[in-house]
Amino acid sequence: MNPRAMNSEMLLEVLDLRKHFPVARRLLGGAGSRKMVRAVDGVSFSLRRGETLALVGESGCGKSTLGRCILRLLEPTQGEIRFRGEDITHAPAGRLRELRRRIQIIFQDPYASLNPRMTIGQILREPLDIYNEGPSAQRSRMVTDLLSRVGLAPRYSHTYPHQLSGGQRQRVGIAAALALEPELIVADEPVSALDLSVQAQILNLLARLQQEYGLSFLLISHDLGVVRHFSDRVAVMYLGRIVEMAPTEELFVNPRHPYTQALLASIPQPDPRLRADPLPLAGEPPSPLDPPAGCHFHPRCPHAMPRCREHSPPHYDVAAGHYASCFLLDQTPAAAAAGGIPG
Amino acid sequence: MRTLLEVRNLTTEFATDGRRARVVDHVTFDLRAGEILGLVGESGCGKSTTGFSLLRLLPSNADIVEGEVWLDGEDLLRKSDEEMRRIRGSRIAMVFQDPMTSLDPSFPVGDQLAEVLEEHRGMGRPEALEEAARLLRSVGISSPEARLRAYPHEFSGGMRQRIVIAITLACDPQVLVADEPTTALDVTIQAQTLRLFRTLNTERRHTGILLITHDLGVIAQLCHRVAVMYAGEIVEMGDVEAIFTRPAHPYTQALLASIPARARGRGALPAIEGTVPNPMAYPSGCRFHPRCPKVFADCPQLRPQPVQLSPGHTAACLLYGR
Amino acid sequence: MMAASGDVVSIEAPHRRRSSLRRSAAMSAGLVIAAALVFAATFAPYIAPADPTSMDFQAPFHPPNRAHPFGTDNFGRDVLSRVLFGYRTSLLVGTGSVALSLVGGIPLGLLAGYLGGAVDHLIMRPMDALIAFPAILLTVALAGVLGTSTFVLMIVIAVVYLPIMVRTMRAAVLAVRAEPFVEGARARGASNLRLALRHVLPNAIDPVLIQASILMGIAILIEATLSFLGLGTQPPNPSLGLMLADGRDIMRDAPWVVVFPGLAIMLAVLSFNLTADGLRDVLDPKADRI
Repeated sequence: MNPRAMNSEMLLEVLDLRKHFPVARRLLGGAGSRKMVRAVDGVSFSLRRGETLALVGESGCGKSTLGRCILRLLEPTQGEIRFRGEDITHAPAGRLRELRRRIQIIFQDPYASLNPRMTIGQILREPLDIYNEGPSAQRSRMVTDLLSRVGLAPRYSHTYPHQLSGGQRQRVGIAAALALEPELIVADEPVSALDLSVQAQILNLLARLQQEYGLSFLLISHDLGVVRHFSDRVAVMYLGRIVEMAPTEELFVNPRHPYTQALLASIPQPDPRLRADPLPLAGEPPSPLDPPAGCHFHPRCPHAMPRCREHSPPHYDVAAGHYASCFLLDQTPAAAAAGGIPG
Repeated sequence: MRTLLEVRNLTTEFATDGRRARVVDHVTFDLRAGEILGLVGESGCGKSTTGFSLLRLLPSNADIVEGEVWLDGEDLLRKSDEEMRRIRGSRIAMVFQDPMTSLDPSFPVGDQLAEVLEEHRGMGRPEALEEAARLLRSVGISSPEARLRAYPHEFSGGMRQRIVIAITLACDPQVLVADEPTTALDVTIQAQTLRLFRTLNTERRHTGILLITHDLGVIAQLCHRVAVMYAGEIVEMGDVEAIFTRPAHPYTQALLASIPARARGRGALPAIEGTVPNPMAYPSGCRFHPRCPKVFADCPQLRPQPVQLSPGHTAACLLYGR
Repeated sequence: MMAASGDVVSIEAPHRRRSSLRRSAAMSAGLVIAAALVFAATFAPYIAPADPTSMDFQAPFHPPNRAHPFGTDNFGRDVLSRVLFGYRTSLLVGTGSVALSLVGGIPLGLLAGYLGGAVDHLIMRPMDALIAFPAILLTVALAGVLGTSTFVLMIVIAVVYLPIMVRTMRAAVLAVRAEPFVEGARARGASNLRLALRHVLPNAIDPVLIQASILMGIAILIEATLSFLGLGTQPPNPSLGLMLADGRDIMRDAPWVVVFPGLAIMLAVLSFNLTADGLRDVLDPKADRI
């Protein structure tokens, strides 16, 4: 999205993050260990100021959980989150309060993300009141200012959410996220629930705001078209882990992980002349309750090898800023001899 | 190809708060055997309501106020409720959007399949169960005999959607209406389901499929012909290639231009200003005129009629005549 | 207020916030009758043709006539007046018990639902125990212990109904607490207190209000039942239930002595139930789904 992000300050660093949810203990068989849902199972990445990093994956991959851990709406089980160099993984309530100003969220469902019993003005004003932003008398003006930043007229201040269309509600959600002047916004499927024509409007709005305010985005999405248009880098997630990470164009042009390849091949292209009929990926996305051993993807992988069942592949570098976790990329002589196809 | 379904001037209105909203307005199209016709548009355009109107599955506050739906020479709108009940499921069937709620959670899937077979094809239970297993296999569910006894909650979303498709196919209907069949599914599962539709279409040349969706990618990959809806009307209709490569109606053009996947470069997406109109208060004249980049003086005054641009390709826009 | 036009990918039928004419007719009828009863009860001293306790031994067992539109009972008391004053008791008990159960139920349900964990257990286990008792049995037992009077009856009914209120509130709170807008407010700095009171409570209160209107009808019925059994309102205070009890023996000869109180009870319960039904339809946030 903007080349100056390349050398800007490191805003967010996530190191081997894990979030496990305990599942209810079985009643009988007391010696049985507690089952865990490993929603996020060892994720590491970094994000620079002004950059947009996309997390893509299907249901159960853990991208939403990861987003909430970063917002500290959930507390991580293991690992580290550093914001501007400070370890915020287990930050106490007081510190969290301050952090909330810096990291905000936009939700997917415009119909459920605004309190139906509050007016738009009240919703936008609330964070200003909580944090005592500016003198109280100014706050109404700050609210209308926020509304205009997202392209809504001041009169919407007095309306209720149900009087607004989905696209307008999403604009309000964006305005609410901007109220405290954050540096990082976690956008959880920000346009998935919107019509195509409105999607374009909202994406343009987000791009403009990013330019104006130097915002960084962590974009969580399953829609690869949106991701390609809007993000600088992409991390592909599968069952709690990042299987491939690359600059956006690089990922789309040169995907190396079999899952990424399958994902890209699955997208129905909006061009009837490009009608392929590749064999789609077999099977279902597995449940995070019972992940397969070794490489999580091996049961569905068309190139699975024996070692994939036993070991979890590490990151293999493909190009600058591009890595994938797949044994196919193991270039060591032993692996080549065993039949791993380099590249 | 034989014409199976002829829809003429279908008009459906909803009554709310004492006023009427014309959600489907004089919709006219044909569906031929072996064809997949895509009905595409954004929310509020009336495409789903059109689908429901064909099966006469409308809620109590909705009425079909005008039109004819000819299925193989019989007007479905003139049928009694009892007759319609016999036709629904056997000659014209529907796949709904949400596979989670389309199946009855209290009964094993085998029973739900068998019920349709017993009801519409007069089979006995053992015969019906055999056929049910065969149907499950045909939609790609392995070990179907064992899975007959399983309950819906034991299947994932993608598999449930296949079971629903199997149920609709049970009576070999002439027309299959699919309302957003893959919207609720993950991308890789969507690909599997789309492939299933393609296979079904190849195998059952006597069936016509009406595919209702907002997803232009799905349309491009599956459909032979496309009808674009806006504000209750079909604004453009034609072969899928014509629609995607030579879109004539400004709405179709704008819609295609706003797809992120088709955007060139990273600049701002060409977005359509404004929002979809409220069915209770459609704009005068051409309903798209307040948002149209090519609007001119006549547009708010005159209601455009479909104009033939080339064989099989029509557009309702004053740019091409009245 | 204009209905929002959708540009969200979802079912398209125009959003309906009001139910169809058919259903709101029921609520209107219920409200009108209930309002009329409340009016009658409130202004009973002014509109009753006679003093409900004044006995006229010259005129016992008079069938309905101009002087006594509902007739007179065995003591020559005007039945209409007694019915009107009986309504006072009924509505007093109803309103009092509903108010008490709300005062107890809302905070308890909110705490249990919002905080969860140990607090939830602490509150809900006693509620589960209470719910296990059949209502009438519990009211009779409590009345036996606490004595018999209108006031006690109010407390007893509130206690019996408290678990339902708490459960209803808790369930609604659990549902609302998971909504994205609550998460959003939390992400923008709202404290737990603010989230609970400003965001969760107002959106969870609807089912509780519906329960409250249902409770009104039930409370009136319970009052009548217990008074009929001699465990509720004591004579000479007027009560519809007492009138039924008194009139039992003379039903065959002077049916109006029980018919009118009986109809009155039915009318009261019916009107509040209709109001509750209508309230449920109006407050139901789900638009009609095809």
